[in-house]
Amino acid sequence: MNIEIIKQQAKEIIDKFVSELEKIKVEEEFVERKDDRRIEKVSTESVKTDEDFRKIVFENAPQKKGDCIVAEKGKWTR
Amino acid sequence: MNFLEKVEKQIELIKKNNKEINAVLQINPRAIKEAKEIGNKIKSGKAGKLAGKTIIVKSNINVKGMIASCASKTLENYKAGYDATVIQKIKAEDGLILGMANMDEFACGSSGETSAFGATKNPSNLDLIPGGSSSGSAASVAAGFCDIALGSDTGGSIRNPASHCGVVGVKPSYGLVSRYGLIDLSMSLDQIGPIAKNVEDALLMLNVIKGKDEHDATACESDEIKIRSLKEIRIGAPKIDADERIWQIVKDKLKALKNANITEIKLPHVNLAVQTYYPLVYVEFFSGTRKFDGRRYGKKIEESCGEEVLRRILGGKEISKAEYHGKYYRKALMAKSLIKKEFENAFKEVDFIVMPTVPKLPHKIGEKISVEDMYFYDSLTIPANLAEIPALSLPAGKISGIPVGLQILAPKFHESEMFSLAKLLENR
Repeated sequence: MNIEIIKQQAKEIIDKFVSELEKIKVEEEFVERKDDRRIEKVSTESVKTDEDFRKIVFENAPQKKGDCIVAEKGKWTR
Repeated sequence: MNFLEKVEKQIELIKKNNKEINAVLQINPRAIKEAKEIGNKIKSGKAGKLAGKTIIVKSNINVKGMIASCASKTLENYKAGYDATVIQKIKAEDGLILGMANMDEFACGSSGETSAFGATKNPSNLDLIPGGSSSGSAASVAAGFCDIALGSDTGGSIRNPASHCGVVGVKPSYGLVSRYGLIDLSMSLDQIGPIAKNVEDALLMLNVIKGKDEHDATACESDEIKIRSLKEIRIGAPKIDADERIWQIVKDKLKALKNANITEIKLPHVNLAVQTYYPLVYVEFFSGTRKFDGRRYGKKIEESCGEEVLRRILGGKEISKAEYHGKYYRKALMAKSLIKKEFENAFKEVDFIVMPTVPKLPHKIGEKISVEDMYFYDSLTIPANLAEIPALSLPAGKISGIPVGLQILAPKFHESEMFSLAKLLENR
């Protein structure tokens, strides 16, 4: 697979599609909110998961160290 | 035959025929044990609504302990740590999860050929594609591997393979079914829905999986979906491009309705549905796949996926750039709202819109098809996703032995009416 060719092909397809959408004349709609603050439900209880959940999450992680999943910044890019 | 015997027989059938059809990626190792438990409940008269039914699940839906690979090398060893809401509901009603289905990789495809684990074949003709992306789900039902399957439909991924495989496929209204636990393709368009041998089983499943969910803010509460008698039926048939032979089968099927008034309707922008859909999908898919960075779920997606998945990721990354602000995604959103309005207006004049599900017959597996031609397979199914309305594909007939489906579209949350018309047409 040639990444540059695929990228270029994807862009060409979308450019072609969007050029056809240019013909559409439509007014953009917005939803006005009275209050932009979200009310979050605050819970003091910790999230409960079943016994297996933690075990499976660790099984899925490619790199582990003790109780941690290894995910240092930049590690996965190398 | 009791339930346990039925399950054993279906597992045997999968083991025998799946080597050829390649519809199932994993059989539930606990299926026999669970079948015994459900069988006992059936005997005691305390079983749920889905007791006695076997279900195969598309591999992008989390079933605890099963592999939710999305038919990709990226997630080939990813074991789901929890049940999606739809799975919790199925288990609560004693449905038996028999296995996980093959699919187009990350639901990116319309033919069932992009799976990293090989293409699924159409049980009605093994040389042909089964359609996609819920290829394994539809093929499993058609092959008799299970009673009902779950698929996901973003632009036709349930209805397209249902049409090619000769089974019933339902895309619910956006917001009817929780998407919690679905590994998304495009979050503003995805819906989980049933694929079944008949309308009744599809209805049974949809009634179980629908409803409000605190894990998915878009999922709404809704009344039970019921089949009712339809007295006067106003059907709109849009003028759209499709194989004349397929249109003829749809028209012949509609002729059987004596109390229907069929008129031609205009949906002027529906022919731009594909062009509207892909910018939305590219951007949302790029966004949704950022979590597959190789830290928590195995491999980095860009390094392990197939060509179509990579095309959507790279395309989505490119058109999401700040320099293109307002040019792609926003323009597509505006077109989506226009198409949605066109459907709302059309439903002031008619109760249903009926048309072919897929505009052409399925191609041969491996046949060279251009990317754009592949995208246009879904040209008649995408509009329902953009308009957020329910749509159902019903087997309508065959052309040279190849199943052909007709599609019923109804106003948003009018699933009862849609199922009522499907039931009426099913036996004619």
